Amino acid sequence: MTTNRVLDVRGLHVSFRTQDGVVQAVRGVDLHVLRGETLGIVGESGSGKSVTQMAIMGLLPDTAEIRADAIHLDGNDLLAHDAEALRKLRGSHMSMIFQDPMTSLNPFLTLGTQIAEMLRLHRGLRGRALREAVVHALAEVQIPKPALRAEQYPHEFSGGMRQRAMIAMMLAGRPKLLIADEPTTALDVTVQAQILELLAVLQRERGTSIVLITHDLGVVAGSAQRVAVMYSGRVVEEATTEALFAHPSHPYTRGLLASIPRLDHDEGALQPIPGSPPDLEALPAGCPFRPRCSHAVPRCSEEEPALRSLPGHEAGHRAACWVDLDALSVSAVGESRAQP
Amino acid sequence: MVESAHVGRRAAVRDDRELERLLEEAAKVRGNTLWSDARRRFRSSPVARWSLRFLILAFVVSFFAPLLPLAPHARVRLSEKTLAPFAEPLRQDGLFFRHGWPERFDGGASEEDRDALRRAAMDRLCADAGVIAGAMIRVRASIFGDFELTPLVGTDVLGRCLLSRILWGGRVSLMVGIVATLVSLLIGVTYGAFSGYVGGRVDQYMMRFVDVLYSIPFIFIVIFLMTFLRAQQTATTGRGDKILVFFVIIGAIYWLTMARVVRGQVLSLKHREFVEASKVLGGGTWHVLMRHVLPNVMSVVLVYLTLTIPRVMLFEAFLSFLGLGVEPPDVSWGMLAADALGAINPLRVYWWFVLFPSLALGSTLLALNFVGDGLRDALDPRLMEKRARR
Amino acid sequence: MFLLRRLLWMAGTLWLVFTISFFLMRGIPGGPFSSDQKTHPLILERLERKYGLAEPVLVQYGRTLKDLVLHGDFGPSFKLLDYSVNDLLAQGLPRSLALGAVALLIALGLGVTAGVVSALRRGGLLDRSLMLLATMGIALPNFVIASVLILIFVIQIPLLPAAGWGSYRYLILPAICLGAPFAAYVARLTRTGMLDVLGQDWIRTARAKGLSDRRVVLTHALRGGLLPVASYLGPAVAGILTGSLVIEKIFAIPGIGTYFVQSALNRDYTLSMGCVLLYTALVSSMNLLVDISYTILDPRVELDG
Repeated sequence: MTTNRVLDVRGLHVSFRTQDGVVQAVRGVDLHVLRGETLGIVGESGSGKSVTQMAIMGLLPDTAEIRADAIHLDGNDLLAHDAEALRKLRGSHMSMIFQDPMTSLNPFLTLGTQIAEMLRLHRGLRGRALREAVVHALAEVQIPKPALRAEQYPHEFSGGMRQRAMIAMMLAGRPKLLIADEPTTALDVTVQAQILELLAVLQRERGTSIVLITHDLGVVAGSAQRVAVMYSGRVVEEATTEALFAHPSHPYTRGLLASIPRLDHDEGALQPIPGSPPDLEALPAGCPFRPRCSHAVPRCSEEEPALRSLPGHEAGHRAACWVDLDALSVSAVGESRAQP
Repeated sequence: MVESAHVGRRAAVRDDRELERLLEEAAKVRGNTLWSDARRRFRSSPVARWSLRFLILAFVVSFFAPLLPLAPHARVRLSEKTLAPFAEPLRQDGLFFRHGWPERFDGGASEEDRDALRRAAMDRLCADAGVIAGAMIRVRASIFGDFELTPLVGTDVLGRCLLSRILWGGRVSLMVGIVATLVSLLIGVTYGAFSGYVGGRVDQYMMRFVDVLYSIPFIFIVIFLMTFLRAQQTATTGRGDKILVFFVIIGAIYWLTMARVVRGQVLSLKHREFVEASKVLGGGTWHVLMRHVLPNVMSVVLVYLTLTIPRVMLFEAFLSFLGLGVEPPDVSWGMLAADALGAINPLRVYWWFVLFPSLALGSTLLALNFVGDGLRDALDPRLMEKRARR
Repeated sequence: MFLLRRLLWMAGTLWLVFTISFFLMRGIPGGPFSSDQKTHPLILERLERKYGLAEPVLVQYGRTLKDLVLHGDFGPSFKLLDYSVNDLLAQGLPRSLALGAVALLIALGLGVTAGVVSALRRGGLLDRSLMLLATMGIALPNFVIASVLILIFVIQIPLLPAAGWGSYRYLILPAICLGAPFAAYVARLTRTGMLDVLGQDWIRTARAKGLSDRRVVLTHALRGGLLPVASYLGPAVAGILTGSLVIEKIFAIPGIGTYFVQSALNRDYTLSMGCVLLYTALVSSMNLLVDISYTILDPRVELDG
């Protein structure tokens, strides 16, 4: 089973030293990604979803302190790698595309140059073969007139085209794992769909595993096989996409699902989750979601729940909550009926 | 229904509490405005703090230099030339008011003659120094009489007390820096604020004009102008006026950048909500400018101001160094530096000529730069954000 | 098209400077031949006629402008007999250019290196000491730096000649003194520019690609980080030219700067006019070069106006 995992992270902690103290951005995250699958990671800003991936990539600044029980990438023990060895894995074994294609490409270099850099570094291509590979890479992400486009600078591209070029660049090193950090957030809705479709096509062709970070559950529903929901630096629920949407088991997941507009049934007003995410410098004792949770029990403020398998659900569906929501929702409804 | 009302009430109570908390926070924040915040940040930088203290000290000492019991800065005494620091002068006769006397004249004259001479000398000294410094010299005379300190940091090639020259030079140099900068401030802020506020075509033309002026190397024209002004002014007007002209000319060169900076700031402020609101409420152009825009431009202007002063002082030193700035008997630091360089020769090194004026000019300019940098860091919230993000 | 417009613009600037200078000179009483000693009126008259000062000012203006534009002739020097201004400028220019160019190279070389190192070691001891040095370089006038360096390298340890013009050794000290303040400024600009660029998303991208730190800095960061330096080159050249007035005087280098100061002090109309116009032309053409180089450095910028 472990061999089927491209990425396997256990007990990842990331904290940042700042002037005002230590911020615990990631607090004990377990994650794994299977070969050829897409794992969606959902959470609001500050939930630690990006920091987790940046930590795996080794792209965090020096102020970050990273601890983990294990990080394995395609048979490489990343914890045993020094910065230089980790650098060599970037681009060739794992790549990352970023939210804003406007600022993530170097405005001073042509796209061809930026892609060629990858091909030269990770595939050792030179001269004519290199030039052809650049054009081929652009063609693969369905950029029209790739030979001409390779000579152009990022500001001559539209947002969607830039993101395509970015994908071409990041896949040029043939990585096993592609981390996509909100790849469609900055794009128009129609372009969003095209980019997600492109990612799916490329994944089918190459068998690349994808980690898709997003705050948009709609994106997850369409693209990911499995989903991890993060809240204040921890994974609070993990399940296959169907299971998560069918039986959300953490109050936060339920809140998220209730807060998205749906066309298929009209529920009246959308339900926002009350309150705001906790301050990572001063986390409350117990469950970090407790202050915003309407199902809290006394235990929630004493002890932080760990991620555990849920009885009565499919295997691999895990949530970090003391309350059995399925049982509770029935009784809660009963109670409110009973009261005058 | 009942339940929802209940929930609603509970939510209302919670909202009330939330509101109270927010109000409390707001009250705390209000005490923490931009300026007090900036002051706190400025104080937290030791370099900037000590630089500011040094500057205040330098300014006070230079300004009150005429009160100090030092030799007159322009008194030539060849018998005491190139004395090293702390060396005893050859004669210790406290001759403060015999300014301009021939040295051999001391013996023969009668008591009355001496008194008359003394009075005449004092009048001339005071007249040379100008109104304020002249008055201070009289005060000094009533306190210290004829007493004067030995040349603490030595004398120059003409036997003039170097310390006295440095302090008097500081008066001119600092004054040029401040006054010229104020001139540039006045022109630049008015021009920039007007251009930015009116906007549109007027703004375009006004800024185009600034561009044209920018492309002219004014420094060369000014050097040019200074020489002719000197020739003319010695003939027609007094020295005080000439220094004034000097101020105005330097100020007039440095207003260009100030105008650009202010215009940019005003332009970005113009469309902020509070300015729009004031306009909607019927505030006139002048009112809006004075009440809402200028105070918000102040921080940028202040930073630019502190960074302009050293540049202006540098320019004054540069002109004086070339012999185009202030003229004897006035001194400035640039002139002292030029004198020092002129006296460098391989046979005998008068290190104090070079060291002390350079030290005075250098440390003042350095301190001004540090204060300017400190202010910029303290007042630029954008920079703060960047720092916090690191 | 762009070039043509800019050249026209430059010609306009030169004309404006010429006109301003011309009328300032003539508008102020006293002339090149009025001095403390009374010159005999007849001699004065002859001199003025010889140099064309007797005619009405506007006629003089027209004639001077015509000579200048049609023949590129500034006329004879009023004070240095038997020298034409053109000769003097042709003599002085190579020296001044050599001095200025070396100073500029020092400024850029030292400044960029120090700035990059500082940015990469941000907050470290090296960064802080380099920036302190830079602030000193900006704050201290070049003649103060010059006097200290002369005391050390000429008087105390006689390594270099004190003044004059000859072999390259005569160039070292003046060029360092002239370039130092600008090196300091360039260092600061480079540091800020580099820090700005290093915080950009595309640097993160470059690192995500697995490039070495060296390559990230050299190919991805440096170019953007040097943009502010490129736009500073125009003012830097103007500043170096200004500074050369002082430096040439200190080190007794017979260049344009020395001529200019002398001519200004002597009221040598034609020579100072020649110097002012030469300086203006140098500054304007440098600005043009900077704008062109900017478009090469930054593909987002297009040439206009």
